[in-house]
Amino acid sequence: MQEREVAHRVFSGEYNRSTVRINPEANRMPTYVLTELGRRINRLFVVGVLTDAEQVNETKEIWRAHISDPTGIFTLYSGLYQPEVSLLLKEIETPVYLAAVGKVHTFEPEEGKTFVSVRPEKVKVVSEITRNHWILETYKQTKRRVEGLEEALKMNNPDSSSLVKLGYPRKMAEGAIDAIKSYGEIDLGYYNGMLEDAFSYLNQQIESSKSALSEREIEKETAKTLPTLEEEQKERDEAETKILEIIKGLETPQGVQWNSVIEHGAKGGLDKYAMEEAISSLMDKGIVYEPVLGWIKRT
Amino acid sequence: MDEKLEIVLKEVVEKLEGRDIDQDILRNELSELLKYGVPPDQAKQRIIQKYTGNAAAIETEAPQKLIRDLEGNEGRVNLLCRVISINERRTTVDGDERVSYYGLLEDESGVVGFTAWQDFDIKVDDALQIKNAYTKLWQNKVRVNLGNYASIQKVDSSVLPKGEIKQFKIKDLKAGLRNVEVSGKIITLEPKEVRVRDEIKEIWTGTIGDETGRIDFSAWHDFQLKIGESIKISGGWTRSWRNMAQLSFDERADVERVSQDIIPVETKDENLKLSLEDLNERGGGSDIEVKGTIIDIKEGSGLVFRCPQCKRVLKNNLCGIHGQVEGVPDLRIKAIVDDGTFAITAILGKELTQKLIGRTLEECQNLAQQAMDYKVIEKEIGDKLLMENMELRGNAIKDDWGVTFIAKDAKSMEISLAEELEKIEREEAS
Repeated sequence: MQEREVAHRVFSGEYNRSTVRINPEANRMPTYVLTELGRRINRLFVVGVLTDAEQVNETKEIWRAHISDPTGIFTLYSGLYQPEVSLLLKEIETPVYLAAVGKVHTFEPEEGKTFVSVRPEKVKVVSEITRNHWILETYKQTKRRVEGLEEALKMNNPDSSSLVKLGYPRKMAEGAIDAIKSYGEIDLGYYNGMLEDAFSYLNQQIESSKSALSEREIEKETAKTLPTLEEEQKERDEAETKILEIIKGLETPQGVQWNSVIEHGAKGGLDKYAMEEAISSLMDKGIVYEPVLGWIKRT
Repeated sequence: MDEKLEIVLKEVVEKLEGRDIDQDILRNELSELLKYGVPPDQAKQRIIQKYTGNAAAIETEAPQKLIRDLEGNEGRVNLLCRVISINERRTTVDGDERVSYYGLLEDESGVVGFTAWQDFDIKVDDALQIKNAYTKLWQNKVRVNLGNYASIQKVDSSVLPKGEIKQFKIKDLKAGLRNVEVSGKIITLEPKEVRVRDEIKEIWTGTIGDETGRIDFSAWHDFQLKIGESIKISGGWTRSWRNMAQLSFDERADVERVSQDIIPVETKDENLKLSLEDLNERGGGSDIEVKGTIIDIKEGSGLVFRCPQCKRVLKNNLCGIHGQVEGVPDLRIKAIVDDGTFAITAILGKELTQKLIGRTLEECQNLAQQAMDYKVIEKEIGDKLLMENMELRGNAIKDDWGVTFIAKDAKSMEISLAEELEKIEREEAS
């Protein structure tokens, strides 16, 4: 009998970079996405902030939603076969903490380009505690994979049995070797950075819950350092202008890939979250749009 | 071929001595059977049976077997064994009530289940010389069948060879062992009344653990056991109970109090707290602790009605075995628990369900009646428990359907984020 597919705890920062799809070997076998850290994912469990949900097809109940975690954003598409999910997305008020169990979905607009999203099977509004717990658990499991890959890359001829001997579970070891074979170069620096992001995010969560106790005391302090509304608006406008410049510079007839805009912006010293915000603001204003998932084009 | 034929023929002729049968006819019949690939032993048996009407006529030829060596699908099995248990079963076939008996037999090599298709007048503790039994595989386990051809002779129990007592660590206890010696600490203990052949008997059930793991046990004699004490049991046996190995011992076993300094009895965390992936690799376990997220509540959770006779859950008010019955209400949860390494099905019974949803069975029945829909309870379970992180304690069984976890206790997981982050920082520093 076929084993139930495990629901992987994976950050969007890892999942969204995946470009390798493993097609079913036989009928009724599942499709997998192989991440750079060697996870063979068919099902995943994500918890984060649901930032928005919108109907993408006017005649069919297909909803697109975004869930943000400390490392990036998951894109969810609810299909026809998840009426309960669509109903929840239709009626929900964002932002809200949302947990989702879903299946991998891939979209390949052309040869060599893969976009991954999540097709939710079950969703539920959850507490901040559940969300923090998820980040912690995902952090631990991701960290172990990064460590496993580091060990594997040290070997002359990486193989899974050597990793198992070092104490890594068999499936994890096999996944690491698959990833090395499929991706070749793996930028572990990126993943260590991602883990740092997640860790400091959790630390901030503790700080903010501590500070909530002595809120009044620090209120005065923060008032000094916080930007005024005008300053904030100015900063946002600047970010949007810069982003628009970047899009203009990179644009081809198909548009420009979301990721390369972010990369360019990061080189120019822009903050990742500020950029995400700027792009979605530009989209809200109708200045840019998303012709296909992951691509941006000026109107 | 011919040589084999002559050998078999000679044996048949010897068996049929004194009967007026033409050897050439026998040779023809035998050679016909052998030509079709019937094994010589069976061919011989068929022909002897044909002329004598009794396969038992050749019983003395089958050698004595040990329970350990039984394979299933064997004819003419001879065993020297003792009866551990025997129960009556009544079934109705085409309107006729039939009585059969089932129970356990043991010899110095192991324990096996048996079915007797008629009343051989055997009792617990009888020492038996069984001849011409046959074996079958039932759910991948060998069962001994005592049919019409079986002959059963009671013998003096002193002729039963005493098996050597063997020491085991608890994690190595598999079902079907006898003469087991284990040491461990009693973790839980409660008296229980069971019905054995129309007699109510008080037994003591609980969990015992050593450093390698834990196992459920039944003591069929009052050994004055106490929770927390360490004991050494010599002469116990194991059997399969709901697909788990269970340790049993009775008055024939020696139970000795031991000092905890001599034998390590605290179960190590690594043998008690498992990731779901490890639990699957081990093939299940007794009294273990797991953590995970409930990512699905399966249909059939909530308010269910059970058959008063066999406790099966009714479908459309019908029991698959007993037909139309007055259902007994019950609460249960069947949940998929997943920790990112593996997914299991967890079964939570009435007490745990009541605790987790904060409602009694009666309240649930009222709610269902008001809504005119039993599903409201299943929905409420989903609202309360879906996506919750849980800690479960209980027994896990692995079979063709995956890993099923029968929970003895369940609660929401509580973690301190600050402590966890500190732990990670300490690990990174070292």
